[in-house]
Amino acid sequence: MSDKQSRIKDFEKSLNQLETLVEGLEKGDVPLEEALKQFEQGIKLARNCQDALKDAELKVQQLLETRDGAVAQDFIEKE
Amino acid sequence: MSQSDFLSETVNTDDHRVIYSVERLNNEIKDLLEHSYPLIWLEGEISNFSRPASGHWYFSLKDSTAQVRCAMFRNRNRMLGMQVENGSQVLVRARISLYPARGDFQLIIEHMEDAGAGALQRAFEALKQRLQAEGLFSPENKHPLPAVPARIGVITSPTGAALRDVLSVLRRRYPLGEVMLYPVPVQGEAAAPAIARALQLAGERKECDVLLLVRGGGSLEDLWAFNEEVVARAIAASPIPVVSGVGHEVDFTIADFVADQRAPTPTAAAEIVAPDLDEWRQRARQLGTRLAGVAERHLDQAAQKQRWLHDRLMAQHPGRRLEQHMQRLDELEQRIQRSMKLRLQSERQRLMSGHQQVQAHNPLRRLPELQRHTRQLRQRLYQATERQMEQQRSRLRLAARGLDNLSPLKTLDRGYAIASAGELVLHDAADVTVGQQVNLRLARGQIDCEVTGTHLATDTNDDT
Repeated sequence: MSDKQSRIKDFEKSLNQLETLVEGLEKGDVPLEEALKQFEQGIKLARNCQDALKDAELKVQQLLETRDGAVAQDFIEKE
Repeated sequence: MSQSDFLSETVNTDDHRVIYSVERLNNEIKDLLEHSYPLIWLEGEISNFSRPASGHWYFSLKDSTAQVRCAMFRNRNRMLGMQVENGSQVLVRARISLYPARGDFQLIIEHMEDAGAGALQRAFEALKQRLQAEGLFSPENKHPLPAVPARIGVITSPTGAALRDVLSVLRRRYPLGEVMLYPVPVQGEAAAPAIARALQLAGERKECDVLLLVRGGGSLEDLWAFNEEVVARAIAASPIPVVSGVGHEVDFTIADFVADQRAPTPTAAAEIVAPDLDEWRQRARQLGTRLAGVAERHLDQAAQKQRWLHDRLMAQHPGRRLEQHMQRLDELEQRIQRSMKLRLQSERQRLMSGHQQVQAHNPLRRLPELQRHTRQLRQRLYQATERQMEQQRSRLRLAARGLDNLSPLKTLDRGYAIASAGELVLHDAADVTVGQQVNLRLARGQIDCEVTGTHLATDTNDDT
């Protein structure tokens, strides 16, 4: 498993944050100013999620072994 | 042939001995062979191979010490699709028979395989049993697959149909994912060690959450690398879950048994590891809707509170008090107007009654009475005047009667005349001059005269 953040993890994180945030807001005990801040954040998160899903393009790399070790590079599929 | 016919006819004349013709013997042996033996599998090397224009194949199968004649007819060998030549090691499925014309015992071949394949099959079974005994296939050694793999490793040929199928599925179903391809040859001598090395490398690098070991369909030999022990052990040792998808649905390889999950095809392998993004999409959409709903509710509440506070504030607004004052002022004004009006009304009423009283003393009201009085007075006046006039008229009549007696006209009747010059009645001769016209009025008619001379009077007694 890779240490660095991946798109799906980012997406999942955004979605989970959004869910927590929406649930908090739905309880309705958030002060208005804080709620407004959270709305703004929630809308940003929702948009991020939608954009991620909309524009997502499968990222394909290949691992080539060279004398200096394995190197990952973009894989271009031959038609 | 003609000889045997002759023989059979001659021997049949003897009732005590059963004498077969060769043809009958061969046919009975043929029946016996064909019915006594089931289909058998047989392995051997081809020799004396011949393929006449008919398309049938004739050859011998031999091993180190024995051989047997074989025929494989066109309708069978046509389906085979394999190269056959002298020296080929083959595995056949055959009926045992006899060629009566020659008396040759022979095999009718129904199916033929490369005997190499047969050897592979045996090797496959042997390895499978060994590894199974070692526990490489047991369920407790299998890793669960990640629900959402961030990166999917694919161990396959970079040019194969399998990779194309896998990428096509992932692009469609899971475009948020990432793919790391470990390019390997998937057939030939180099394939198995390369696959094992790729598995090891992927396990060391730990950049993927799941590995797909895939290859498109092919013959048993084509798929052989996936039956090699080195590959099986590399799969078993992989710290990353491995999904195998080799060949078609019917193909099972050792790799399939060791893998954490076996998929029937490369496409199916990709579908197994790719989470369905539609669920995420739906969840994201629902959360968006919920967020909007909450936002609306919050804003509604805030707006309501604001309205309430605003109303309360406005109740305290100086303007509101001003309004109250204004209202009070209006009210007082109205009251004052009303009382003024009442007052005016009563004054007007008083005025009216005064007016009526005054009116009662109006001189004009006495006018008709005065007029009547006047009329009466006037009438009395008329009557009095009339009476007076009548008295005067009778006095006048009496007087006129007396006067008539004294009238000059009576005098004229007696012969007198009245002289006048113009209007002037002549009393004095001095009133006229000579030549002046003078009129004489007689009792009957008149005479115009001219003065020819005058005689002036000397005293007042002169009557002329």
